[in-house]
Amino acid sequence: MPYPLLADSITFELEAQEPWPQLITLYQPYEVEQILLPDNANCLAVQAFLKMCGLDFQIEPRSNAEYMSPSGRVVPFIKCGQFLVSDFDSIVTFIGNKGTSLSDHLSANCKADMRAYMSLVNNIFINAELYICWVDETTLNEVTKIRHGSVYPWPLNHYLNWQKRKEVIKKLNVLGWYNKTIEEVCKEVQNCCTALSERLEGSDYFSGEKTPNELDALVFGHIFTIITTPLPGNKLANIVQSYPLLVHLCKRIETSIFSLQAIGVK
Amino acid sequence: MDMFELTIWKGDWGLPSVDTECLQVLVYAKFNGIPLKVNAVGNPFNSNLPTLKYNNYTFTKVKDIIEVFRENNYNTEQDLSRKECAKIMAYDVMLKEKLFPALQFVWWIDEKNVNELIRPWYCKAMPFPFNFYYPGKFERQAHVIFETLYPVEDDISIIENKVYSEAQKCLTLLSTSLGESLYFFNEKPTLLDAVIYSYLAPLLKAPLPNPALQNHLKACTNLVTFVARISEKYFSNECHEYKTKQNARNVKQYTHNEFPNKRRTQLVAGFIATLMMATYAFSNGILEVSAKDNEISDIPAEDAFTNNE
Amino acid sequence: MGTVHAKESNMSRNINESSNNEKENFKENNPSSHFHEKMNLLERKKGQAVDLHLKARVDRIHVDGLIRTKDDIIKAQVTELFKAQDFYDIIIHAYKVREKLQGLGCFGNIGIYIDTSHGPHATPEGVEVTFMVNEMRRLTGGISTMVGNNEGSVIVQAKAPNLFGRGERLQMEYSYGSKSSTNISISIVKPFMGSSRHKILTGSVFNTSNRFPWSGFSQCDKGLLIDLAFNPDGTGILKHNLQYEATYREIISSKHMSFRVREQCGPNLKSALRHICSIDKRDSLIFPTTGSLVQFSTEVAGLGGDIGFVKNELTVQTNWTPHEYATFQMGFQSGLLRGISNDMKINIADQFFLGGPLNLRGFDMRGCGPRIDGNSLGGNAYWALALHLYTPLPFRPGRHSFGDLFKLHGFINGGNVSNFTLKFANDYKENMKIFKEDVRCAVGGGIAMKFGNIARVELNLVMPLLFVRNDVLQQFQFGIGLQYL
Repeated sequence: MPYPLLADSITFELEAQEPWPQLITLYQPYEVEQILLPDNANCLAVQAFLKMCGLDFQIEPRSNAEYMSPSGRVVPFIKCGQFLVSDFDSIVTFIGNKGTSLSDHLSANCKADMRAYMSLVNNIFINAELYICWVDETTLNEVTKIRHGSVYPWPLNHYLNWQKRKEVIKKLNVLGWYNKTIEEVCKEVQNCCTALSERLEGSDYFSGEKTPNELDALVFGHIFTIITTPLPGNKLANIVQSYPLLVHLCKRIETSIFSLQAIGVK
Repeated sequence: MDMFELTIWKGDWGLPSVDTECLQVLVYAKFNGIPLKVNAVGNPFNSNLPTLKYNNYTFTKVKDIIEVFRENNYNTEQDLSRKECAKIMAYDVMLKEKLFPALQFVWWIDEKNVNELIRPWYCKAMPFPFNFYYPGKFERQAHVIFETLYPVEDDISIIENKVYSEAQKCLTLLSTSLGESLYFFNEKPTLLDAVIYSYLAPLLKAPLPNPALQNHLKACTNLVTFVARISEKYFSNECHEYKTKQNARNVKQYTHNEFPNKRRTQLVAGFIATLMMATYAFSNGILEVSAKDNEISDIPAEDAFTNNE
Repeated sequence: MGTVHAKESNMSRNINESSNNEKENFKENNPSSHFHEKMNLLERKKGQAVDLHLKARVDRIHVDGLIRTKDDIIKAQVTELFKAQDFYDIIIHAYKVREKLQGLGCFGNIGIYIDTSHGPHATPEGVEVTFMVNEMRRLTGGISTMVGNNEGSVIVQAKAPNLFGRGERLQMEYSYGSKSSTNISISIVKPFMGSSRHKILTGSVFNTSNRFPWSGFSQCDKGLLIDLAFNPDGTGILKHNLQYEATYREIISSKHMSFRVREQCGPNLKSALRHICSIDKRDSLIFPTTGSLVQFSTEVAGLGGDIGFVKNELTVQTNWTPHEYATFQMGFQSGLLRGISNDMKINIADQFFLGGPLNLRGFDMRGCGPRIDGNSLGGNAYWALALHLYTPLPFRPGRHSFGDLFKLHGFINGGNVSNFTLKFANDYKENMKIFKEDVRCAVGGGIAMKFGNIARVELNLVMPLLFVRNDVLQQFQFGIGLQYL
């Protein structure tokens, strides 16, 4: 995933000059009627990460959050003083530059592994979620089109659904996911869950320590959203449910950092 | 027993193959000591590369090919714990996410590399009619990749920065992860080493005219020795061949550092250029004559400059 | 005038002047020279003098060269010629008819021949008028360049005139601008020709994209526009346009934009009805010397879509020439934008902006009014007033030709754009605030040039007199555009 607006060391310095801590505002689509599975997972992951860091933030739902995003259709993004940062990885880096990090104390090797697992989650889960939402016909017609188009007036909703679907398909095509069958996609998710579950074996959190870090936040975001979002067929949810270690991790994180209202009862 | 027959892109610069996926399969096979019949080819038109033929079945996906190897009890991972297998999967995805775009960028987007090294190489490597089509096709595919990965960014230099910084971070991670050990899981090479080698070796070995990322890789000395170790151990033939060729070329360059038939080439080029210009002028003249037939005067001329075509 | 010198005694006249680009709008030279031309042609010094007010009657009208064009629309155009009473009338009417025929957009050159009538039904003072027309091809096209709103563009056009023989045409236009704006439009035009009043129905689909660096966003529009234009009095002075527009607009964020603008990014759908009424009595579009223009436009958005507002705009221009060397011009523009309900949004693309080299001179494009972090936000009400004094170039170089394209002008202009809530009832003082507080004003002079009789180029040196701290000022300004204040 790209690191938008943060590529240069100059920006790092600029960021360091801003007073801290500042109020963080998190912009995301409307949770109840608009947001889709992949976006929701990302938003929840960011929320979980910010909570883990002990940072205060405000959630600001906007129907056009996707278009407001500084780096091309990526939600959620946070506004912090002058800066707009989108995408989970960039947000983690940004907060890290401010001196709040959950993984600084880990060994270099462990950090490298963690980055690799984050890539794994980001790629496999997001692509699978995009596939389910935009390629799988039943989900597309029964859920995705209705929700994605809900904030736009007729005939615009149809046009934008079509446009978005085209974009997603183009992306999945480049990443080699569009030609997969639903079974292959499920297999990928299963492999990914297996890998995560193996990694987690025997410890509370992925780092093997007593406190969660960004990988836990990311996994929580995806697993929790997949479990709690009702979709026709519930294919992904069924796969994820069969990994009790991951489900327990989610419950643990949920009870430790989220009160029930904060997530919004589904 | 049936032979494994593997068709791959041909190599150069001391590499057995220039393609990442082909390398991956080949290196994995070498690690396991699989008896292989390797066809190094320069035309991809009949199938996707790499292609494995075994028992009259054809496999083209890296995953499938490695699965076939494993079914035949060629497996470097059987001694690893499940946690380590999970790690291989995670690193595989990370490399695909971070290094693959960078390699594509270095290979097919960076103009200097494309014009001076990559396109000439592919043009030479492929047989005649295909070498006009395929390099362009690969280039277009690479452009599509970056269009989709960075949909709102139209400034190519910003994309370049982002891609390279991602790749550099990833290389640094690999470097720390490898540390001082021989292979990523200590003593024995595994699939993970094959994957990492397949990404790093082309980047390291190709004599790139624009070596921005290559220099970063060269700075990670343990990765450089890692690549060299595998190359020496498993592909010593290719290495030596390339080295002798290189030496021979150096010697040659000292003796004749001018082209043969320089004057003749110049004359031919001059003649062709004149011919082209004359043709162009002539065709333009024709165009002007026919332009008079156009009813341009019927269109309300929006201003003083009205051109016709 | 009273006499005309005929070339030959049989009174046959050839007034077949070449008539490309007769459409006044697009003509290079001043419309007043149009009249000169006419007289020059009639003043052929050979032959005998003829009384122009000689009684004459049009017996017959021939139209030669019709292939595809249907008779009924031609009949409607030419019948008025039968009303002519004397020879002078005939010539004037013949010209009018020719203009009308040209207005159909079906013909290239049109020549007029007037001859005494022959044959059994000829009346003693009867004449026959023949129009030699030359139908356009089925498909024409070309490339041209155009300037508008501080940007030059290349235009590729293709046109299929006179599709079904009644002046219908299909046209396609693609333009690419120097500031990477693009515009594609395909329109179909159907004129309804009555004898006196005619209506023109135009339907077009378009796709445009523009950048507005002054406000930090770019905009991409795809839409449909249906326009019905009619002039009830048939003379072209009073004009009405009824339009319906449905546009899908996407506001695209850029890297450096203020958050207030960023909040407006994204797609929206505007569905609007518009009525434009204009009374134009000026003698020229770009350098008028006399007459005035009044134009009202009312736009109601919110018939579907998610954008809702009522927008009123008024443009007034009046000209007065007390002396050959001095023309005074006063231009006034104002507009008001109101929301219609809380469910319907008003986007930044709908707001009013002020400033620019042909707008409120002395300020950068969108240089005044509410702004934040260097991005102009626009306001929901504005007014601007400009007073010009034009003189020809000193010592009149290139008089009657190239030199007439240029004029010197001195001006003072002022205006204001802001967000204000209109309180209709009592608070007069509050309502007048826009005319009192933060008024911008600038004075300056420069040279103006007419470009193809539709566009205008100005090079000015301006001194801002009244301004607000946030405004972006410019002392030297170069502007090209179609509309000017």
